[in-house]
This record gives sequence, C-alpha cells and structure tokens, in this order.
Amino acid sequence: MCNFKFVQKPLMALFLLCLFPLGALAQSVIKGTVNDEAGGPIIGATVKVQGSQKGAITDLDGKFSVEAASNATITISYVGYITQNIKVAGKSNLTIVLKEDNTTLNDVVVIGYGVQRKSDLTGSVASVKADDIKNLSTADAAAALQGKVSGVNVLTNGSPGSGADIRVRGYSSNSENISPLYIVDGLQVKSIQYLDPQLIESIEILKDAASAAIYGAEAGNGVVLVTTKKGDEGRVSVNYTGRATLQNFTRRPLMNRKDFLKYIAYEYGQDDVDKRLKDFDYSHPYYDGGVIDQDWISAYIEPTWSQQHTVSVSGGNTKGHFFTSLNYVHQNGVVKGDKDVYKRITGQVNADYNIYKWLQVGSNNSIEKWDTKSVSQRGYSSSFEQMIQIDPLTPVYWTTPDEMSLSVRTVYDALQNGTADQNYRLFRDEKGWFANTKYSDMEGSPLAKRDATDGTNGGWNINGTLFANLMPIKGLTITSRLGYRINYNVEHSYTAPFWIGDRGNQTTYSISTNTYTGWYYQWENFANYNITLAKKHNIGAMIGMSYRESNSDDSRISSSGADILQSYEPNFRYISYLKDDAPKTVSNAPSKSASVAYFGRLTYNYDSRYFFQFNIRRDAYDSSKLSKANRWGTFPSVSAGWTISNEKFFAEAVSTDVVSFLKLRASWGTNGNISVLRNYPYTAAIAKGSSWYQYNVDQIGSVYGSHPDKLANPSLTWETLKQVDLGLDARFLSNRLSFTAAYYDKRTKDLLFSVSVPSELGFTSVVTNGGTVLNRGLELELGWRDRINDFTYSISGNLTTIKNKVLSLAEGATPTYKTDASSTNYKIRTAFEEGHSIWYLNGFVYEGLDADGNPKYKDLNGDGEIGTDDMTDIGRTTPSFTYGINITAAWKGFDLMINGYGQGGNKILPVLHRTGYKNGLKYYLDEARTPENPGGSIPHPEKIYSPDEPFWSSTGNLFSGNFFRIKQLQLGYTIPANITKKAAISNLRLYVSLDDFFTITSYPGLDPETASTNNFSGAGLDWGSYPTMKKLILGVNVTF
Amino acid sequence: MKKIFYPILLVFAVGFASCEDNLDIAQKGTVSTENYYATDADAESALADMYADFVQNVAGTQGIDNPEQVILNYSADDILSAGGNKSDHLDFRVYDEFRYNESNPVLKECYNRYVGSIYHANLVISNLSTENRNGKEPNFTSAYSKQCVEEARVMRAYLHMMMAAIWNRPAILDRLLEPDEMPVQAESQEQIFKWVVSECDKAINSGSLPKRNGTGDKNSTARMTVGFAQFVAGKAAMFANDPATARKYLGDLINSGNYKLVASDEYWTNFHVAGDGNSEKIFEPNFIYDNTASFWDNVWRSRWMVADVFCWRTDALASMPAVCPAAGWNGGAVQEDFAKKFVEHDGNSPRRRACFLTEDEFLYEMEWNSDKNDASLAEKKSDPNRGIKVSAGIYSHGPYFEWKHMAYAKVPKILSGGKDYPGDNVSEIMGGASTQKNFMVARYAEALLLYAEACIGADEANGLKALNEVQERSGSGKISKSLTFEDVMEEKQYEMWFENCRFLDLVRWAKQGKVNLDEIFNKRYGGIHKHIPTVYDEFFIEGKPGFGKEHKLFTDYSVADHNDFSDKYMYLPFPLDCRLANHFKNVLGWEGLNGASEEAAE
Repeated sequence: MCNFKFVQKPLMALFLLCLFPLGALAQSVIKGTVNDEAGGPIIGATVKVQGSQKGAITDLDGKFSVEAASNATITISYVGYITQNIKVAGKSNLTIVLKEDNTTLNDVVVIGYGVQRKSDLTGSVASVKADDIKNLSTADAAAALQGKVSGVNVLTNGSPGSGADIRVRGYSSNSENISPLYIVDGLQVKSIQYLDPQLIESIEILKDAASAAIYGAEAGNGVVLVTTKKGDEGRVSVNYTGRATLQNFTRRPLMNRKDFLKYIAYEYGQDDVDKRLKDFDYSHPYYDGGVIDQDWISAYIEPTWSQQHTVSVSGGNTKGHFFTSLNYVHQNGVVKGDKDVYKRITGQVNADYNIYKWLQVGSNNSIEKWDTKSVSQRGYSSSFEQMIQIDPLTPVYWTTPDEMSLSVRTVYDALQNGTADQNYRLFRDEKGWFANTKYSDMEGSPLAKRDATDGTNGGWNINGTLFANLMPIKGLTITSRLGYRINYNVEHSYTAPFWIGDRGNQTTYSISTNTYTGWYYQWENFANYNITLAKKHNIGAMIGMSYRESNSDDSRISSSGADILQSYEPNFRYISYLKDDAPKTVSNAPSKSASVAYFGRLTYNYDSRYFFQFNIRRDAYDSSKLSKANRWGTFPSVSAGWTISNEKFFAEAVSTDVVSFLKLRASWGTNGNISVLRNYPYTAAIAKGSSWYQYNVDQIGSVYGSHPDKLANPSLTWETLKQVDLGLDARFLSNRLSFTAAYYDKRTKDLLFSVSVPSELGFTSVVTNGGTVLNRGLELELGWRDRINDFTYSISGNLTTIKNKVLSLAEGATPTYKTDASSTNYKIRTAFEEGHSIWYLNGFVYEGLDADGNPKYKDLNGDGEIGTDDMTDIGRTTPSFTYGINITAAWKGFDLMINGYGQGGNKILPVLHRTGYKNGLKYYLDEARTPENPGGSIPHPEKIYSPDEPFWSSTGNLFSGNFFRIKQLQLGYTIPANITKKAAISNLRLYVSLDDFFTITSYPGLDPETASTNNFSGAGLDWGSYPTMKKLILGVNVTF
Repeated sequence: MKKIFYPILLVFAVGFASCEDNLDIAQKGTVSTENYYATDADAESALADMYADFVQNVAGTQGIDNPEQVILNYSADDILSAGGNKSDHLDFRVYDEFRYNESNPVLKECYNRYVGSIYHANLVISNLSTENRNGKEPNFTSAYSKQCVEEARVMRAYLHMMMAAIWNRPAILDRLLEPDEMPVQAESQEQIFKWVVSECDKAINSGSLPKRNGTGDKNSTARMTVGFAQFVAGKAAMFANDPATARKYLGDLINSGNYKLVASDEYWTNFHVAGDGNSEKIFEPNFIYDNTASFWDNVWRSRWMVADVFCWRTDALASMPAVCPAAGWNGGAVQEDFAKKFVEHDGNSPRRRACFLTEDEFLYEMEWNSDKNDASLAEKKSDPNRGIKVSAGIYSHGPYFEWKHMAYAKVPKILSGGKDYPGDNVSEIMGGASTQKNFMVARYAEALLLYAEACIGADEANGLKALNEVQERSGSGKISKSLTFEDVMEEKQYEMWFENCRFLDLVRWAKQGKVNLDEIFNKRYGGIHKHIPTVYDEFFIEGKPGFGKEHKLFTDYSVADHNDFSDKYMYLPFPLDCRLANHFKNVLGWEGLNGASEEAAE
C-alpha cells in the first residue's frame, strides 16, 4: 500500500493550484455607495462580481470601486442585512440601499423528508447554520453544537479522535443506547464525527416528538439532520481554511513532594515516611539540588500542535450546483510521543443537475480515511490513572541500573545474564529507563504504560446518496433516494513481554487483528405535494416508504503465549507469522439487519395564522430484534401553531416595531428507541453443546448437552417515548430582540428490565418491558442583534432545564446498582431506582467530624453501623441545566466571537484515592482536619487511608459538576479587499482563537466536563479521564 | 409523457417491492427450540444436559459450599459448622443454630437448584413425550428417546422427594411450565411422596430404564437405573410412612443382586475417587475432568472450594498433614459427644476411622510434613512439626478430626494400609484447586437400613438380615439379635453420618412420634450449642505442663449465640422472593408477609 502521508500534502497543494483562475476578460471600473435604510454608509460590506474573482470592501463612506463588465451582476452582502444582487446594466455609479435582514424566521429548515419555513414550524426544531460553526476548532460536527442551542447536550472527551455524542432533552433510558438518530443529507449514519464543520450548511435537531415522529422507532432520542453544502449559483468559489492549534493541559491539581510527604506522614506516620525515605530516596542529577520533586503531569504531558486544512470548490448555475472539498485533520494529543493521534482525510463531492425542468438528479458523497492511536484512560491501571497516582518522589528516569527498583533490577540482571524466562522489555528512551515507584505497588510509570502495547485502529468510510427529484406537476415533488455506507476498519494490537514492576508486567506475547467490514443501504421514496387554495388554505402532504438494510462481516483473530511468532522483528508482528502451534482464537460470522417503514405527513395552515400538522410512521424491524408477530409499530404525532402576530386584531393593536412576531405552538407525539434490542432478545434458542457429562466412570470424553438459552418473551418491544411540547416564539423591537421558550415533557416507557420469575420456569429472570423515565424542562433562547454605525453585534443565550426522574420500574423489577469502580474498593455505586434521577450516585451521607475528629455518617437504618443499607441518593450524574452564550461583534474588518457553554446540577465523585504511597488531589491535603488545619472539613488522612472507608464514597468526597467554559474566544481580521484583490483573493481573513481556555468551576480534579457525563452507568465517577485541552488557534480563511 | 411515465414506474416499483420478506433473518449458531428434540442425538444431548445440570447445580458449588450439603448436614445434631471462630462460616452456622430465615441465600440457592434441575429433566420429558401442557405430540420418538424420558422421570422424582422432605409441600412440576404459567403448590407432603412412588413405578415398569448389570457394573451408577428408581420409591414411601410399599421396592432392589456392600476396610472408598462406581453405589453423578472444556467450566462442576471447606485449617497446625491438598477452612466438625459415643460403639472400626481421627491417630498415626513419621512414639510426642500450633486452638472441634469428606491429596496409609489408591484431587489441569470426587447421592447401605426400618413389625427376619449386613461390614463388632427401631436408628447415625440423612430422618421420625426433637436439640448435653469445644495442644501453649515437651490435646468450651430449636425448623421456609412470586404457603409457623403465621400444620 502506498504511504498516504507522503502524498497527501503535495496533493493538496496541487489541488489548490489547479483551482487558481487562469485570467479575466477586460473590464471597466464600476463605482458605488452602499447605505442602510436610514441613509448612513455601510462600512466593510462585501462587493463581489458574479462569475469572476473580482471583489471589494466598502470604505468608511460606504464607497467601493470594482472592475466588472457592463453586463455583470454584482453581489453586495453584509452581516445582518439582506444580500442584494444588482445588475450593472451599463451604469458606472451605483447607489445601493441594503435592507436589514429581519427575515430569519423565513429561513427554510430541513425537517424529515422535506423542508419547511421556520415561521411555519409547529414543533421544536433547533437550527444551526454554517456561519455559527464555521470557525470552530473542533473537527467533529457533533462537538460544534455545544452551547449553540437549547435542549442539546454534547458529551465530549479530550482524547484525539474520540467522537462527541449528543443527548437531546435529557437522558431517557436505563440503557446506554440513547443517542439521537443522525441523518446526513438523508442518509442514516452512526455518527457525524467524520463531518468537518466546514462542510456543513446546516444542522437541524428535531427535539419534540411531533417533529421527530416521521422517523418513528428510531427517533425517540431526537433526530440530528445535517445538510452539507452545495454550490451557489452564479460563481465558482474556491475556499481554503487552515488552522494550527497549540494544545495543552488545563489544570495541575496534584500534590508536589512537600505536599505528598506531609499527606503520607498523616496517613502512615512520620516514622514510616522517614524509614521509606531512608530506604529509597536518593539524589538525582535531573532535579534541583538533586531532590526529586517530580510533577508527573509534566512528565507525561507536553504541549502539541495540531493542524487542519480544508479546500473547497463550489459553484453552480440554473442547471445545477456542485461542491467539492478536501479536508485534512492531524491531531496529536498532549501525551508525550505519538501514541495519541487522530488523522483524518475526508473528500466530499456534492452535485445536482436539472436534466429537465421536471427532473433533477444529484448525489452527495463523502470518502473518509481515518487513523487513531490512543492511550488508556478512565479506568483501573490506565495510563492516566497511573499519572495521577504515581508519587512525586519517583523520578521519571533511572539513569543507572543501581537506581532501579529491586523487581526491575532482578529482571534487568537476568536479561544481562541470559537467565530471564522471557525476553522482557524494560521501557526507556534516550534519557534512561522509565522509573517505577519503589514506595508502593503501582503498576508503574504512565510512560511505560503508554509504551506497553502497540496498537493502531483505522479505516475507510464511504457514505453517499444518489437522488432523483421528479416534479411532474406544479407543487408535486417525488423523490427517490438511494443511500449507502461502506465501512471498513482494521485494528491491530501487539504486546511483547515487558516488565515495569511486580504488578505491571506481561510474561507472554499477545497479538490480535480485528477486521470490521460493513455495508448499509437504504432506499427511500417519498412524494411531497404543496398547494394553496383560495390564497389562504396552504396544504402540504407527504407520503413515503423506506427500506434499510445493514450488513457486517467482522473477523477477529488473536493469539497469546510464551512463544507465538516466527520472529519478533517489527516486520514479523502480524498474524501471518504466527507459529503453527501458537494457540489461536478466531471468530467470524456475518450479520444482517433490516427494516421497512411507511410514513406520511399532512400540513395545513390557514392564512399563515393557524397551523396544523399530522405525522404518522409505521415501522417494522427484522427478526434479530423483534418477533414476527410483534415487528410492526405505529408512531403518530400531531402539532398545531397560532401566529398571533398575523391576526388582524393584533396587528392593529400592537406595532411591529414593538412586537414583530408572536406565535404559540403545541405538539404531542410518540416515538421509539429500537437500539435497545439486538441479537434475538425475544426468543429462546437451543444453546448447543453448552454443557457436558461423562456417562462412563473411567472414561475421559464427554457427551455434550444442549438446552434453551433463555426464557422467551415474544412480546418484547422497543422503548416508547411520548412527548408533549409547548412553545412560544417571539420577536420584538423590529426583530432585534428574539425570544423562544419551550416546555417539554418526555416520558420513556417500556424500558428493558431483567425481572425475576419463579425459578420453576427454569430461569430466574426474563427480560421484559416496563417502567417510565421522565425528562421535563424548559428551554429558553434569548437573542439581541443590532448595529451602531459600522459596529454590528449580537448576543444570544440559551438555557435548558432538565428534570430527570425514574417514575417507575417494570412490574417485578428491583433497583439496579452498578459498581463500575468496584476494583478501586470504593463502595460508591450508581443506581437506577424509582423516584430518583437515572443512574444517580448511591453513597453515604457525610455529617462532618465529631469532637475526636472521627467522621460521622447518617445511619439511615438506625442499626448503629454504617453499611450498604445506609447508602442513599447523594446526587445526580446528569446535569439539571445547561446553558450557552454566543456573542459576535464586527467592526471595520475586525470580528469577535465568544461562545460559552455551562452546565450544572450534576455531581462528580473522584475515585482516585488509593491505599499506600500514592499521589492524589491536593484538595485532600488542604481540606484535611489536622493539627495544622484544625478547621479542615474532611477527616485526618490517617482515618481514611483506605478507599473502602465510607468517606470516599460519601458526600464528603462529592463535588459539584457545575462549570462554565469559554469554548471559544476568537478575534478575526479581514484584510481589505483592495489589498487582497491584487493577489486575486476576494476575501482573506486571519484569526486567532482561544478555545476551552477559560473555565469557571469549583471541581478540584482534572476536568469537570470530561470527568462526568460521557459515560453510561458510571457517569459521575471521575476515574482519570482525558481532560479537555486548552487550545490556541491561528487560522486563515481565504476565498478566491 | 416521460414526466408522467417515470413517476408511475416509480410508484409501481415501490408498490411491488415487497420488502417484508427481507425481515426474516435466521439466527446463527443456534437451533430454534421448536425444531430441536428431533433425533436420537438431540435426545442424548438433552439427557446429557440434565445430568450436567445436576452436577453443576444440585451437586455443584455455590461460593464455598454446596447448598444441599450445608442445609441437611449442619442442621443435624451430630455435626458442627466449625471454622476459625464463631463468626466464621456464618452461612453454615445459621443451620447449626437454627437461626436462618426465608431471606437466607443458601436456602434460596438450594431451592433454585432443585427446581432448575427439575426443569432440565422436564425439558427431556415434555419435549420427547406427550407429557406437556397441551398433550402435544413430540417431534420424534424412538426406543432411545423413551429411555431418556424414563431416566428424566426418575431424576425428577428424586428431586421432588428431596424438596418435599425439606419444604414439606412445594409444587409438583410434572411438565415444563409455560412462561405465563405459575407453579401450583401441592396439596400435601404425602401427595408428593405418593406421586414420587408412582413416577418411579412407571419408570421401573416401562422397560426402558437401564438396569445395573451386576455388582461390577460401574457405569450404570452414573445414571438413572431401575435400582435407583427402586431406592427413590422405597425412600419416598418411608417418608410417606408407608413401610409396606417401601419393603416392596427396597426388597426388589436387594433381591436384584446388583448391589453389594464393599469390604469393611474399603468403607472409606465410598467417599473418595477410589470408590467411584463401586458395588455399593446406586447413583452418583460422574465427574471427570474434561480437558477440552474451559478451566472455569471444570471449576464450577468440581466443588472446588467445597474441598477447601472440608479440609483442615492447616494454618493452625504445626505442619501440613500429607493428606491435605491445600490449606482449608475446617468447615465440618464431628460433634464431640457424638464422636465419643461413636468411638465407644465402633472402637477402631474401619468405618469410624474413615469418618474421623482420634487424638492419637491425628498426632501420631497420620503422616505430617515431618521427618519423624517413621520415628518412635516418644520422638513423635516431642516433634514440633505436628499438632495444633495456634494458641487460639481450633474452634468447634473436640479432640476428633473429621476427614470423611476431605479431598485427599494422597490416600492416608492409616486407611489404605499402604495399598495404592488414586487421590481425590489428582487432576490434570488444576492441581490442588479442585477435586474429582463424585457427589454421592445413594448407596446400598442406606437402602439396607431403610429396608430394615420398613420391616420392623412386619418382616423381622429379612429386616434383621439387612441390618446385620451393615453391622457386620462396619467392623464395630456389634450385631443385633432382634430388629428394633433404636438399633436401626443408631446404626444409621454411624453408617450414614454426614451423608444428608440424619436431619431428614429425625424430622420424619418426630412426625411419627418416635423421637423428641426438643430433647435431641435443646436438652441433650444441656443443648448441643451450650458447650462448643475448642481444642488446643499443650505443646504449643505456654504455661501448660506439656509446653515444648509433649503433645497433649485439651479442650475448653464456649456457648454459641443461639441454640433454640422449635418445630418450625422441621421444614425450611420457601425463599422469600419465591414465596412472593408463587404465593406459596409455608407450614409450621413461618411468618407470612403481614407477620401472621401461615398454616399451623400441614
């Protein structure tokens, strides 16, 4: 295979060069003035000549001059004003008046299988346009939504290449399958991580059930509809966006040498510390005065650069449009070395063409090649956990064998003498061996953990649609659309025997290769018909069908043993070079799933005052999910709206300068969540050979037994979500002030529970549907936009509240407890229980210290002892409110963008304390009640040295998850066109941005954002997650 | 025209695209339940599954115990749960001290394992015969499938007999329940026992059930046979207080000539690998390592930690006795007063020595990890590598050391007389972590003693003959001259000690007015839990005359926290969640949901 890395940059350059214009025809100079409606000059407006690369920016007096042919059309645009196309028509001096753009409400938004004017919506649809996300530092479309709209919570992780996930209006289920349905240009996809925000025209989130109902059994958790860009008519535009990002760790909350020595002296006594220091502490040349005071975050983390480039070419005419783009992302995470890397190259080709007036065909396609390497995080013995826990008394390097721990020295000597039982690797770099602590039973240095396994994961995704729109009669559009996805992904992993310490070692070789191949297609046919009768009756109807089929054919092979490969040189580390007698584990079986749906929509509005909409979808799924008798489901919804401001009485009573728009809307609908069902959950099959028996007393060899694998429940069905949505949209003060409020009440029923059954049935439990989860809240969006002379600005904010409660469990079900962090010996659990928020933290209630400094806990069952029965709801793991703030300002070519996101109401409990000489959060030292700090609120370290002490799983170790983060603070400058046009550049913008730089939080750990919610039943437990990086971004946007 | 034609074409294409067939996707790697049970191979596999389930569940490990062994043996008056101290092995001790309740996890496991095994037997019966809810014809029948059904029938009958004896009146599960069907509680204990007898009778008379082919036929002891059906029918009849019926089936069993007590000096082999399938065995599910099965598959079947429980707490001893496969937890102690009585009755009989060791046997006859094993007694007496080293002593033990159920690392010479026998934990993959000992369910000695009891007052001669056969083999020297209940009861306590019999017999006899449970549990020896022994070795206890000089065991006594047997403990309560799910009623004073007592008596 050719090494793509070598060719991708030259290719990009070549691509860029090809797109430069070859020249221009002789032109004459056109001059003009751009004013607003009040007659004032508009400074900085963009003037472009269609069909050429010429352009200009208006000066302080609103004047411009540009070369253009006498029959040319020029386009004048400015933020907050309606773009105008003016035919020169032989004139040489033009006066143009731009009207303020008050028509955002007339934007068209994408809804399922159709579009609708925003002002006609009767449900809650959040819409994010290209301008809102174009300069974000993320390469992930889902992450771009954070803080932009209400009702949408984005879950992220700091690791390069880990995709963001979205929760729409709360957390709906006891299952982890609560992501929304993602649809890109009509194609259902598993994630939108592959889409660079640069490629996106708009993202619509269908939040209420009525809007989402058209997607039926998969839309229960909302629908995210992404529309990629298509070319504009009239000109070919070439655009380059590039950025370089410097990223670094945000916080350093651990103890240094002085703090650490104090803390362990509290825990284990000064005598013990003195003895250990005498035994193990030594002078080291790499440290000031030879005293080892190692900051392990600095040892493991370094600032790194990432880069991202996008080149796009787009254009079109009355016959058709095209948009092509090439996007390249290279993120190297902050862990030292190249072990956490995400690389992606995506090509996008969108085109449509009108063959006849009544026939349009088109295709949108994307090809993505991606590669990731990652380090272990969030979990027992992960490299991030080791980074947090290794003591600051241990140096990063051992420079001589004499410095080694006894365990490593023994192995080192054996390796030197040739007496080692394996060819152990002792990890090192040019400065020395990676040192392991001599003070505790840690697995070892995070650097060694990083190097223990060589793994790569990468693949190709090819996504696309082909469509034809037939328009046989006025108002009728029939669409046939074929969508497809081809996914190919290979994972390799190789580990050779290594020795970091007594607990961190591997005595065998292991190797594995996993290949995932998937292909999916959908065929959807639907017809939209719109007609207006008697000028006031606007009727729309849509009817359609969909067939979807998903296939996968995955193969896995692995081997491990003392000697498995023919050779251990790098070019032999593949499955092909396994020895004949190496034990192998292999698996392969293709799988398939399919679904059929029929759907329809009826919309009606009278005089743009009264709106009504009805949706229905019938869905059927294949036998791997549902029994044949039970495979069909129906999902109806209704919604209605009343635009009061269009009523005559209102218009007469209230000036549009005061109230420009006012609408009330309400919806009810039902959806499903099919993703909880897989692998024939409803049926009992014979598990062949699942047991064995020997009939003969002296004989080795068995007869294999077979029996049904579970208790069948043919009535098993999807989760059903019912939602009521009430909304109000209003605009005031000539549309400057906008306000939207929505109330939602979403109830999930028919969750899956494992319920006890009489054991006489042969099994002790059966999976059944039942229970109800409530998500209820308010969504508020408030926006202000105005212009003061040549200064334009906008401020908008959004707030979402989420009341989340398990209203009931299935009949016969008992609360479910998960102990994700049980290997840490913490007693904390998350629980799914009636009357509480989902997966709440179940722990002890800390009541401070008694006179002797002993911790007190609430004895809930009054038995005089503190045990499991005294654990209770100590906090939510999901936020009860989220909010976002977006500010833009522009002045004379300068532009400023500030985006902030915050959330709160959730709690975080760090599970990072361990027994022994292990580091941890400095908070625990600062807050301990000790002779030096008699006012400390938490127990003396001696009293809680063990992580199974109730304190660690109590409210005493519980922190608010509230934070507010400036996601982006960006300052840009657009170089005046009269300078850039000399280089045939119509627009050149440079910017600098600080992303995730500023955070307000009281949380003492690494990062409140990634610590908590990006996990299923272990949410709320901070186990050493890869934190969000702070980023400095330098970028350029160029349009030719 | 085209603009009309194409849409019409599209509508037709969509209309005719019948996609729903594509939704039928067959599950891979499995066979549907409806299509199974259709060949002899399927029948064999279903039957193997029934035995495998019995091995894994009724005979298998739950944590560190086997629930049936715990409940039936620790409830008896001649075994203490032992352990490190009185808070050790609490799961066992609650049965010793009668302080369990319906939430007890061992009780729940025991119940679930029995009904689970019945389900696996019913999979065979309901799928290969018309004995299902609708009388549905099976997919397939053959001579072999009929044999499978009859074997399953006997297994099911045996399990019901045990459940009726333990819970008084559970449900009769005579076919597979449908998912929407609730089990129905039997009308009475007697109804169940009578049903068990009739089921065994049906199997015996079917002609399909395998028979043991002479006393040398080992393999038939690993499955259901006519002999086992006769044993179950006879035992169930005795529990139904119907000795005439018991005499019939047990008499047939005895007269078949297919079973014979092993020689006196091989009595011990009944409980060890050396005796697998011997002439005395009626049924013991077979357990041999399968090297093709996974490590854990083997572990769960092999009563791994049960073997640890039944081994001595060797960390309390001066060195590792050669017999011990691993450091154990001292899970079962012979009750001291009973041990004294046993020694007085049996003396040095091979039977008594197979059950437990006396002080001298323990200290000097048994092999320790010491170079003094062949030395003189005087040297052994001052050997620091033998005896009880810990100053806390060994709790619950008097100077008697149970080893009837210990998995032998090496068969002790004291029993083998130097002959070569295989050890119990000689396994190919797991070393001392497990045991290959079978789980014995029925042996001929119990059949003889049940028969002797059934003959009292009816067929004295044959009954006495059966009793004498057991007495002669024991080596105790006692031979009864007449057939009395007292002699049968006493002989059975010695012969069947720690073999799941004693507690159920006491309850049965109490119901028949033959014994007084209050006397046995609460009054004898001043209440058996009023003096719990702890045994020490003077050699290791400072201030004692033998300290550092000579081994000498001494005992002191403590009082257990509980010691109150009452009639409600005659039968176990149903496990709480089972009772709530099934609405079963307990008997004899177990409390119901509202605190009210359910059914005063059956």
